[in-house]
Amino acid sequence: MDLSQQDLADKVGVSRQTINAIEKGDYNPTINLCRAICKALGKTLDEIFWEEE
Amino acid sequence: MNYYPAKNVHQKIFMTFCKIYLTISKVCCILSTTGNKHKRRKDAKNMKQHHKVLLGIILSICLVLALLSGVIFKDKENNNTSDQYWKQTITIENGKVSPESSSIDFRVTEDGNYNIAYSWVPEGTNVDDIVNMDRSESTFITVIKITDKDGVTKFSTSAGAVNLNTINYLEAGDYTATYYYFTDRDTFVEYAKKHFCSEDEAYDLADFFDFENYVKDGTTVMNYNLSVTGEGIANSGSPLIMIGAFIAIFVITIILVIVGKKAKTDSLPEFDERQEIIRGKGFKYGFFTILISLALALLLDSANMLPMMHSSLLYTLSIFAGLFVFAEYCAWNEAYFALNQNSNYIVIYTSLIGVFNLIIFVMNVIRGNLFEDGKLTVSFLNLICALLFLSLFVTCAIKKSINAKEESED
Repeated sequence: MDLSQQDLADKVGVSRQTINAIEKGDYNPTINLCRAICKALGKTLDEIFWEEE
Repeated sequence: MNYYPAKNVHQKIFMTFCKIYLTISKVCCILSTTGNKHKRRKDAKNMKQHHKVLLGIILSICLVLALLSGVIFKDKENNNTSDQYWKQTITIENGKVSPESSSIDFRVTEDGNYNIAYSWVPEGTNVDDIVNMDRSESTFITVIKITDKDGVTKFSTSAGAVNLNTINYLEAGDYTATYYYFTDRDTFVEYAKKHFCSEDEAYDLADFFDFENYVKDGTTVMNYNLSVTGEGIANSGSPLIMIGAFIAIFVITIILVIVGKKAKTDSLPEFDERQEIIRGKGFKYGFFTILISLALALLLDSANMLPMMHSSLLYTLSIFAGLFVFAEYCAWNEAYFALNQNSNYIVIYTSLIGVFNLIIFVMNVIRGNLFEDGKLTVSFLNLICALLFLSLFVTCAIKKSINAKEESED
C-alpha cells in the first residue's frame, strides 16, 4: 500500500505526528492502536511490529 | 503612606471583552470543526443555522465593543487642584498651647479620588529632612482633621511634623482642614479616642509622642502646605459598567451552555493517546513550574527582595510561568490542538489577543502607567499575556514548517 503518514493517520484516527513518532521509535503505541494500524494496512501484528533480529 | 486605587477601568473592560471574544471563538472552533474530510468526527454542520448566526452576531458585538471600549469608557479627567501654603505661629507657655487650633478651607467641584498632600514643618527645617527629624524637635503634636460641610470627618492623622500624601474619595463640596495642637497627654488621648482611634491606640500614640519629655515652652513658626489634586478617576458610571459586563458575561455563558448541549458530543475536542500522554506531562511540568516559582516568589517577598514589583504581581507571574510551560510543551510536541480542531483559526485568534495585549501595554508605557513609586504595575501583565499568546504562534509556525518538510520527505 502506498500510504502517506497523513493518510494512515486519518484511517487510524490519530495525528500524523503520532504515526511519525511510532515509525521513529519515539512512541510505543497501545495494543488498541497497534491493532487499528494493522487493520488499516491489512497486515498482522507480527508483520508490522515484530522486532527485527 | 500612599494609596493608589485601581486605575484604567476601560482597560479592564477591554480585556473582559477580549476574553469573551476568545471564549466564543474557541466554542466556534469546537462547534465548527472542519478538520480533514477523512476524520471520523462529524463537524458542526449538525448545528442549526440560526445558532451559527446568533454566535456570529455575539462575536461581532463583542469585537466592536472591545475595539471601541477605549473610546466609550475613556477615563474622565479631573483637573481639580487646590494648593495652599501658609505659616502659623504657635506659642507654648507654662505647657499651654496657643492657639489651640487653626483651620483652612478648600473646595472640590467634582466627585472623585483626590491626592491630598499635606505637610507641616517647623521653619528652618527642610521638608525632605522630616524623616530624620528627632521627636524632641517638635515641642507639640498636631492632629489634622478634614471635614465636610456637615462636620463628617473624611481624613485624620497626627504627628509632630509630617510630609505625606494620601488618596481619598471626596464628593463635590466645601471642606475644612483643621489643625489641633496638643501639649497635654490626657487631652490628646481624650481627643484621639473620640475622633480617630480606639482607646488602646490612643494611649499607644500618646506613649509614642512622649509629651512629658518633649513639650517645651517657646514659640514655633510652622510652615503648612495642603494640596488637593484630582486623580482622574471620577467616572461614576464605573459600577454600572462592571454590572453590565457581568450581565453580558452571564447571558453569553447561558447561551454557550445551551448551544453546547445542542452540539454533538463527538464535536468536542479529542486527542489521540500520544497527545493525552504529552498533555499529562505538560500539566505536570506546568504544575511544578507554578510550585517552584511560587516558592521563589514567597522567598523574595519574605526577604523584602522583590525586584521592583508588588508581591501580587510576582505571584501572578508564577501562574503565567506554569501556563507558558504547559502551552509550549504541548505545542512543541504537537499535542496542543485536538484532532478535530482547526489549529489555524485558534492560532489566529490567540495571536490577535496577543497583539491586543501588546497594544494595551504600549499604550500604558506611553501614558506612563507602567511604573508607580518605582514599582511595576499590573499593566506589566499585558506584556506577559502578549508574550504567552505570541510565543504560541511562533512555536506553531516553526512546527508547521518542520511538518511540511517531513511531509515532503515522506
